[in-house]
Amino acid sequence: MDHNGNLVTESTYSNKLRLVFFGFTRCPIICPTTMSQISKVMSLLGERSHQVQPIFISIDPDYDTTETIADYISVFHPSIVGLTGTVDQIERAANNYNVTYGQGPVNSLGDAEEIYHTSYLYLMDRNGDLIDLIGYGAKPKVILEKMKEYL
Amino acid sequence: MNIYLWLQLSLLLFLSSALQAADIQLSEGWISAPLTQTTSTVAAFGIITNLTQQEVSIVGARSDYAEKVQFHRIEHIEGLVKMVLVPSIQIPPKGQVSLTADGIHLMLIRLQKIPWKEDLISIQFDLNNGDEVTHHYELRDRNQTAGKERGHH
Repeated sequence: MDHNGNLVTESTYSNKLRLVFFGFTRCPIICPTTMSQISKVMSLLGERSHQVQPIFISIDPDYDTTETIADYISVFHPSIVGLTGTVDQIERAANNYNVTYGQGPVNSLGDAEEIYHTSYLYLMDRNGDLIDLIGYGAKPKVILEKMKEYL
Repeated sequence: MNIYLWLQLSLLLFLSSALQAADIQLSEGWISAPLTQTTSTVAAFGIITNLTQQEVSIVGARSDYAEKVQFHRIEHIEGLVKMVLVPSIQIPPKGQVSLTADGIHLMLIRLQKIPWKEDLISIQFDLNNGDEVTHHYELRDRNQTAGKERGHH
């Protein structure tokens, strides 16, 4: 389901290149940094930006409602869509991308000792096949370069 | 023990303790401005300097702005990012610890009030000797500091 409450499937964005990122709105550093990078890429694309669909998929469905995600993505590039779903749906989507996420043991104060998630950006072609995995912190121009031949 | 001697010793201990708290200083302290009014967690950065001759540990932190304040460490392992809870940090004698986005930093979790532009956010730190020190962090826009918050370590 997207941030507007519309049901989405793998084919929803099939006519576009996709930049997919798995994160969560409560993530204060890695996720907003990556979302900012995606936004810069979309701005750099200019008129070609309509060929690319940036997608944020929440791995925190308990907290990230469609409203929370809509609020979160509103501060980034307007073309970004945010997706959420049930725990099962998110798990299936994550498995499709080989994404890992979770948390470590909880201490006596009720705090998780660690939280982890895959930080790759997934560049997918129009058929939904993986073109490239882009590591955390890649510069927007580097990401753009990887996309060029597919635009 | 003579009452005057006892008072003098107590005063000396108090001054020594107070001196240590004053000698744990913050520079370039800032907090990333919340993205939206519903943001629940923000991070704090800066450099904490220990001017004393002894190692000092920070064993706890709190702020009126958040339900919890914790040190976290970011680790990148082959495409996986881990945010690891750090129970305490040690600052070497005459040394410093940089709080950075790619290393150890502070997390203000479950914000109780949303910090606003001119706010100076106070964080109280508990030291291992039982002292408390308060540092003040200014609010900065993430985009203005995206370059600065990385590569400090």
